[in-house]
Amino acid sequence: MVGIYFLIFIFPLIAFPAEYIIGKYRLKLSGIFSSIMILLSLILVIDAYLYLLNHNAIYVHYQWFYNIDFGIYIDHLTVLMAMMVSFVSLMINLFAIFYMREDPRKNIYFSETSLFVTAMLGLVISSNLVLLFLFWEIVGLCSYLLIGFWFFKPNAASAAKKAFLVTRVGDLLFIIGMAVLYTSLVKISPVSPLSIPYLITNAHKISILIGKNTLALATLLILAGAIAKSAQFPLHVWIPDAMEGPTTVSALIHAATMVTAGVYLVARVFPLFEYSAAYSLYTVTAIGAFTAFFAGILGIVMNDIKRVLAYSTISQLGYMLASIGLGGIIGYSGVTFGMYHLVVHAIFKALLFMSAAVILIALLELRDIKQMGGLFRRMPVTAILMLIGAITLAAIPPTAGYFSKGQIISASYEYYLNGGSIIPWLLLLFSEILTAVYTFRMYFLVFLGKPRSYLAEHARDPKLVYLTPLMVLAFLSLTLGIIQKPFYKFLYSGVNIYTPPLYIAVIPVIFSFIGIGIAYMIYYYTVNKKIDISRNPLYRIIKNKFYLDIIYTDYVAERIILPLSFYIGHGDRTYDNSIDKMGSDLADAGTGLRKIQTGSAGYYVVFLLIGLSILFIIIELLGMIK
Amino acid sequence: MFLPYFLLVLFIGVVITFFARSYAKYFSMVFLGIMSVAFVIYSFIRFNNYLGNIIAKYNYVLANYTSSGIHIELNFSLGLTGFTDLLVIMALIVTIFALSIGERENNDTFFGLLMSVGFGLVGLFSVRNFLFFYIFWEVVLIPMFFIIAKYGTINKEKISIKFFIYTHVGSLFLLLSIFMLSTYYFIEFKVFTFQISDLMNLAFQKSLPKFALYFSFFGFLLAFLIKLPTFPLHEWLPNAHYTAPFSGSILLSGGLLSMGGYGLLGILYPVTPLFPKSLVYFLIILGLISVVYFAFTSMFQTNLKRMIAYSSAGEMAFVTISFGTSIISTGYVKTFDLAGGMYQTIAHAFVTSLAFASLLFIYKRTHTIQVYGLGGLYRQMPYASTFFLAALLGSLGLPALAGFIGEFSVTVSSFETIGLFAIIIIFGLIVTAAYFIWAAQRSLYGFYNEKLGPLKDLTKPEFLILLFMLVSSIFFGVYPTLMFKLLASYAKALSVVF
Repeated sequence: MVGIYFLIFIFPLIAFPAEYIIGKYRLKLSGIFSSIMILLSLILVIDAYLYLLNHNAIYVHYQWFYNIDFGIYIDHLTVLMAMMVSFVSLMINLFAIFYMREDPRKNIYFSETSLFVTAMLGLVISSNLVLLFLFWEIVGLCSYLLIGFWFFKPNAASAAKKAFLVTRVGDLLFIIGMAVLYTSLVKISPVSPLSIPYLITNAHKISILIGKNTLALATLLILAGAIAKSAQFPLHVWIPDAMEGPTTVSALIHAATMVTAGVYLVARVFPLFEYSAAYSLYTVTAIGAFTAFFAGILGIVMNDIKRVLAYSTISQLGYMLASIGLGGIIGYSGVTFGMYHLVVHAIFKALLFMSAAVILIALLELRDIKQMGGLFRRMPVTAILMLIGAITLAAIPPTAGYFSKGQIISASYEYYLNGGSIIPWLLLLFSEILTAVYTFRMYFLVFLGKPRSYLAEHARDPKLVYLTPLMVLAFLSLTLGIIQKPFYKFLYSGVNIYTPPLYIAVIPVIFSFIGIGIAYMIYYYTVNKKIDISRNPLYRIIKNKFYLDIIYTDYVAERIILPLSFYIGHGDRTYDNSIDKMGSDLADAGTGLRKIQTGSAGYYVVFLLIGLSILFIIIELLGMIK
Repeated sequence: MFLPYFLLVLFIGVVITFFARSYAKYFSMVFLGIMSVAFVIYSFIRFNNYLGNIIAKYNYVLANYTSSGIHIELNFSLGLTGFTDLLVIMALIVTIFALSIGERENNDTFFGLLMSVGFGLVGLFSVRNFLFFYIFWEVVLIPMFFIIAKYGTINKEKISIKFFIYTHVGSLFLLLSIFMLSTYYFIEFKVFTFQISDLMNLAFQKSLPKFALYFSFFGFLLAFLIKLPTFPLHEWLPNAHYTAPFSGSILLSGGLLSMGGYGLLGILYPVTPLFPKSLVYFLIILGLISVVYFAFTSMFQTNLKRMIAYSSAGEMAFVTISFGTSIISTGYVKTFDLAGGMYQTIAHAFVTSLAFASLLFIYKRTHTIQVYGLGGLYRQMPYASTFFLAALLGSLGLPALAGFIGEFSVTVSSFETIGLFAIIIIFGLIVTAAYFIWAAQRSLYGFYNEKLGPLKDLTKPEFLILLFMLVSSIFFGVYPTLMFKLLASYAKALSVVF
């Protein structure tokens, strides 16, 4: 009977065509059916959760092609992730009914998001890496379609292209990772070598049989897929541009769900990482911690409200990945910490993005925070909601963010004590300051002071009923801290929760407050003193995102790929022409030879005789050689 | 006894189409529709417990003569394997696609020629005798030549002749190789025959002198690699696609290209253990070069039709890779690799059909298929643009569309043989993604090109045609189970032979 859990992703799939058709005839009803379907999925996920409390993991699978299965595998990790995905999607979908109410193509929006939710839930519960990859690509496709939802904006079209291509690089490396696993595992387990339960329960055996380094190669290639999807350095460049899509899309796909898929994948196959050579998990930590810090720096100089949030997403994803990487020393506990932060982050980031969406509606899509200001008085409810999101992001106690991020930082200290490097702890700690700085710089610029534009002067809160989903999320952001320990225990009963000495434990909190202080100073100087730092070389480097985008577009694409295609294309054309020329030369030769064909029989006899005698001479000569 | 009657009825249908006047289009579509349903039902029954051998065998003795120890026989033999069965179904469906978008409504000759190509394909895939194999090989080629020469657009006379000569050079070497094999067979066994199972026999070919063996490999490979086409032998393809009417293009990439794939994996494969190692690596390298080369040349094209033509050649490069790598690899990987290559041969036709058909409907309205001439089409033609986008995404190998399963199997299992050189395939696929997404952005997104004026979206029949193509493409991408099972059993039987 556990096959019923297939419906978790089939329900939203029904909404994919249904929303389109309903909306085509009754545009006003758009969004309701898909919300109901996502709600049904959520109920089913909760049912699976209850089922798992006293049963083993759910594993149903059928043959898909050759020895690749399709099926579902739901264990404790999966059910938590699926619950987060369906719940946050439901909240955002409900809010989108308000956000998209004026859009003439909103039926397409809702049908595409339904497809997205289908693929996301499918990705989470699929039992095989190949099936996971299928859904992995469909979420990428939905992201592409939804970033380009306002297709007439050239920016949106080019951002969609960028997002698709950058993630595609990682996805294809992920295929090679699967190739490594498949070709080495098919010899020892031909039944279904890429099924997730097999991989994670036999990881130790696998590493002995195929060697730690081969396994590390596979895991690093899988990590490449995760890096692209979760926008980690150096493939993070697509997320900030992806903010051109509708804000609810940014909330759903580029903050709460899809971008966490990479982290989820690493958590999902964590045993493979654990039993491969140690450097694979070092790489995970190194990339995660570095990205957390790096994106934090970039977030400080952005003036687009959504881009600030985008960089904060990248940074927070870095925390999650770093935490999983810490598992190299602290074991599976690292995964539980990372997953808890993932869930908490999804909730408060969705809240932040939707608050931003409320502001953007009021300000007619004006996204420059330098032109906002003074919104606290004009939009008090939104301001409070966003404040809750901001303090959760900055990990101020007693919000959920404090518990989730604090634990990761403590764990990284523990990592250092147990023989790991101190660098992750330092990077994560200083990112804490950066987080507070960019969050509150944005917050102060948006809400404090006087309005700096006409639109900001006339902004108003929408009706409170529309803000209900935000309130639910805000409530959860504040209170989710209480389930911290049960969450860890549910995921891994042997979890080791670290409580470092008090003087270490308070550092992050102090750093957060320092960050808020710095943010206020920045705000004060930018607004009141109007200091111009645009000529400062350091500022320019950061403002240009360390020139990484420029390297990709101007050098890799324009100086390497395009010329290559130009030369090869031209070469192909030349080759084609030379073949044509050969043809016409042959035809000319034929015309020349035609002159011999006079039609007189005498000539032919002469030629025949000459030819025959040459032939005989050759045969004679050959005979002499023998 | 189903197969010969099937071919006979099909042949009668082709003849009727030539004289059907204004009913040609509907008659041929309905007729082929019924025929394909019949064939699908038949293969469901026959291939229920398929073990990888040749089934549905039929043999009609045309000549049989024995005297003083010499035996001469000429048989019209038919038979199906898992691979050819699916190829026949594919040929039938692709021909329906081609007919359904036929532009020349009242021209019975046009539809008759399209039908002849379809008939030739079905015959080619089901025949088990080299003489008839060659005949059907030409039956496909000659109507195709007329389609391009008579109904093509720019420069049609010159390009059709080029197409004909180019592919015919391959055919001639094919014929020479066939004759040489049968002569050597006659010398050895005193039996004069053209049966594929006799000539493409490992034990027999082992006894051949080196020269004859290599010459026959050369002839077969040349013919099949031109059809596929592989890197240095591809020049007929883009021009032929460029000039051919759209329905001709569908048959070119759906039908003619899969002839190459069938030749490699269905005909030549049993004797591949005799290939020298260097030749195998040469083939793999050709495949790898083709992936990257066609990706870059497609990127260079500004004409969408040429772009799709080049990219369809790039997709077929996976068949070359699968052919080469599966010779070396062993066990499960080998089966997976081979079956993947076969799947790619079949599935490729569906994606390109969708691409050409949706492009045609755009072309009918805008009268241009230059990337720079379009722009922002989505605003005026949301349905047509959606289908075209789906076709582009399918061509770049997006999962859940037909291209993925084959490309995935081949890429994954080629890793066994070529190791991290598989990155080259990945590089080619990234470039492919780049130019398709770029083309979509240029032609469908962004500002609308106002010079095009107001455009009407798809009509109901057009919508249904494209929907059917898209659904079949999704079917191949999401539910490969049954088809892959047939291919895997056949591939397994092939690899057991060694």
